[in-house]
Amino acid sequence: MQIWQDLIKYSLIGSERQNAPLNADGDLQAYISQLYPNNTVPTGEAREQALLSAAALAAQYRLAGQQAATFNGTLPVADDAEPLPLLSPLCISHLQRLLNDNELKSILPEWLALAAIVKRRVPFASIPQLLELATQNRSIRPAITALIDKRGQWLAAQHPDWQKLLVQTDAILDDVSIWEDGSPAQREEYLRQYREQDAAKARELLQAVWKQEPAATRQSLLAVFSVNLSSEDEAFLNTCLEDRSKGVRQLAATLLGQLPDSAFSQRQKHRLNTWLRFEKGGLLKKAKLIVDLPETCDKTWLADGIEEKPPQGKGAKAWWLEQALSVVPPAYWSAHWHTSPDDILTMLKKHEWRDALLMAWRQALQNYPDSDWAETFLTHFNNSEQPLWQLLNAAHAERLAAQLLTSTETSKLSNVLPILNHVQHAWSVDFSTCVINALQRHTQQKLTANEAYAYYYLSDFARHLAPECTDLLSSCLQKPHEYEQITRVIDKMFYMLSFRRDMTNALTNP
Amino acid sequence: MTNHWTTEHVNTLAPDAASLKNGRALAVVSKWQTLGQADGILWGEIKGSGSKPYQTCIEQTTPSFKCSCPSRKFPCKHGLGLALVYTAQPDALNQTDFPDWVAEWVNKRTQKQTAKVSAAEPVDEATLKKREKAQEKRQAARSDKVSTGVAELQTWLYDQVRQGLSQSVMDSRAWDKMAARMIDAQAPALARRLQQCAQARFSGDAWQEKLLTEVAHLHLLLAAYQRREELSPDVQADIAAYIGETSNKTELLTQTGVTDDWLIIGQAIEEQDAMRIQRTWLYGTQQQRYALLLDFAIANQTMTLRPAVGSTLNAELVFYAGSYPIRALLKQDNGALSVTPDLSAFISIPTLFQAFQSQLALSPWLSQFPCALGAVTPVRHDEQWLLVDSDLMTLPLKITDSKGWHLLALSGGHAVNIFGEWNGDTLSPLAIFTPTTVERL
Repeated sequence: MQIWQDLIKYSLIGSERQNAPLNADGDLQAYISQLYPNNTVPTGEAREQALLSAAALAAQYRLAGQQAATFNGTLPVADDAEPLPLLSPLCISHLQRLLNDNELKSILPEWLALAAIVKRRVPFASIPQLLELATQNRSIRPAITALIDKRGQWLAAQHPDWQKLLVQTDAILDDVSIWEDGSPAQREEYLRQYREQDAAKARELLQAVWKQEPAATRQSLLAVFSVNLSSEDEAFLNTCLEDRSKGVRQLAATLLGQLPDSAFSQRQKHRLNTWLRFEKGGLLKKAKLIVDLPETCDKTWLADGIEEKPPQGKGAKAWWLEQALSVVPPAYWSAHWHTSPDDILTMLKKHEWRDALLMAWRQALQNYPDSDWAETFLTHFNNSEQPLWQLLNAAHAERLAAQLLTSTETSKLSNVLPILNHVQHAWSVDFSTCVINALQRHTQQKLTANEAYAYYYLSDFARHLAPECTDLLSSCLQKPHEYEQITRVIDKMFYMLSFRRDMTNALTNP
Repeated sequence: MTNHWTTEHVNTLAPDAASLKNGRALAVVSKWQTLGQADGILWGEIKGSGSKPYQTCIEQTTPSFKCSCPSRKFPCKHGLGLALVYTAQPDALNQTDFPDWVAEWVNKRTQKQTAKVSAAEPVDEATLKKREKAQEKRQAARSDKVSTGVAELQTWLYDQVRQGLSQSVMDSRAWDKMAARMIDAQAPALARRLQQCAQARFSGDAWQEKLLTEVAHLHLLLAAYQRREELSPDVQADIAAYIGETSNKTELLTQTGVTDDWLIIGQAIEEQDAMRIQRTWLYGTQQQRYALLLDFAIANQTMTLRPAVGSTLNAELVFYAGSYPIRALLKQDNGALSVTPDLSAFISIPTLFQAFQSQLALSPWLSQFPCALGAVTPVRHDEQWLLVDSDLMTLPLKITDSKGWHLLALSGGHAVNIFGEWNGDTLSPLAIFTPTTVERL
């Protein structure tokens, strides 16, 4: 409509520049011409009045004449799949609270895992919010995939960020562009999923691009090989021992150490067995570990990742020992020497190579997690070391923590309680009872302000305590406490734990 | 008489997020010592910090809440908790006889309502006349003020157009100042229009077009006001409303209204400065006409509670005058009906265009048209949200992405019924009616 363009022009640049009357096509002209008698632009305010009246007419004319546009795309195929039955209204209300209450957010993964196995679905309306959460957290994706059901998959397929999330590995692996053009994190994820499905193919995939990748990428992609690691990977890992990057070389050595039959492992063990000799104890004599280290460096060690020059402040021999020992799983030694980790560490108490041996085994434990060894380390040395707690299995962790709680004087519990935050799995009823009893003893003590303040860090217990212990918690912890922050922590713990109990009950008794 | 309350509905009743959170924590059957329901009244007793339990009850139709706790929040967490228990596990409210304290509250309420009616009884004629005169005087003073304001605004607007709007809107303070003048002149709706004009600059690619349209509509309104005496009473009422004159509610409520079964077809809550405006759209299933209830709340005031979208209410409504009378007041509420929603309001896209055009001919300032579309498929196409019908006719949606995905999740690519507000260009969807559910968006 030409008149509309003219109107925009004059109104924007100013009607003082308008020197000719406006003209419209068709029916509109009859009305426009009334605004411009004698086909001239009026003067004074009448000019603006005419312009705005014409604009009002034209705007109304356009609006009234509007027609619906025709769709020129393709309609998506509707989701016709028979949906799973819906979760119960109570479960749905729990989900809504989990999604909207910041204090409960940390429990969502637990709810998702429990809900995913009941073979029911969330309401359609919750799907977008769950998919959005799945973009931020990989571990909850399988549960979300199950809960959003067919409708969720239908929806995700239309969203660029969501379509790659769902745990339909085939679909992701079909999209080679992720591997070729994706971000480092996406490529790592792609390779990880490939390793899970077909470890050999995944290896070939990485080998094909190995030479052209920068060192940091090589290292992060190679780390994925811990998934489905097997002797078939040995040849490739052996070539990585000669990589230009030190990080890659160390990683390859660690991975090879995980394969007990690899030539690399055999060499290391053979070498170490000439350095370390275990003498069994008897009735009258103590067991002994004899350390006999070579005086000079052998050039062949370098191929197995042992460097000659120690970092500053470290002796050369200790350095060689550390490097060799850290790529052999500690479990090998206890089996090889037929002795327990506890006896081995006891033996080290006044050993001249104590520091080097401990440093090496600590590193080896991180490389090759072992619950028995980790527990022994925690009992012998600093019991608050979080990385070691993470290596314990549930039973070990609970046994050790319960021991700590019962053997500690009530007045010193302040030092022990925070350690429980390292026990991250779901706590058993027995252990939960033990923790609650300790809390009861402790809160009844005379506490300093600092101790009371430290309670802030204990409210996370409610994420791990057994939901069956909700009533025990509320009966054992007296409210209000003389310190307000403790009352608040107790409230928060009870709020979270009773919520976990309710949500578990609702999911397990539909 | 049953009420179909949903959790969603209860959520909207909460005065703030904290209350809702606390309410949710109490929405556990085991926390309540007693629970019951009868005649649209819900009640329960819950242990508080004192020795006596708190007594909470809810009258569902209004709805209204009562609780013996000292909280100043309204409704309090106990009321919300009780309502949430009811939505999740209605069977848990298993008492059916009013305890004394509930019966007492119900009686008091009935008495109050009767008292309200008697208070409105007429006074003697002399007082009435006096009141009328005072009223007329106020009206005249106001009318003068508005006339002066309108004339001033007209001159100012011509000035802006003469110099060019593109330059004028850069100085938004000048527009704000003029808007303030209009509030002084008791024409608040004109002030809002001026602000809309000034904001049009930020409306994207077609801002020039939008700006000109807004300014042209404002001009049309001012011109119509100047010659209002020549226009029909309906259009005069339109003009008064669009200028921002308030009408007397009490007087309006004395008129006979329209009784019908009203389907609550959509609801929108919008924030305007410090005020929240709630628009509740109703559709009279017998009269086949729309009604709009407007509610306002300032700051943390509680918003008037309206029944949930999808429920049907038998009620008498009184309509404000106008060429397209939809704004209404609730005169008599006869309670909710337990019926499945009557979907006769839902029409096709071409019919909507026709209906909108004929209405536009009567009221040129029409900017919010209730629009119920039947059998349309929500689609995301080229990053745009659309409704598409079986003839591939489309209607663009004005919707945030998060709501768009919500809509798509609910519809699953199927044709559904959508209610929303049509502004002539885009539709803001407010509710979706699928064969099995009704959901607010």
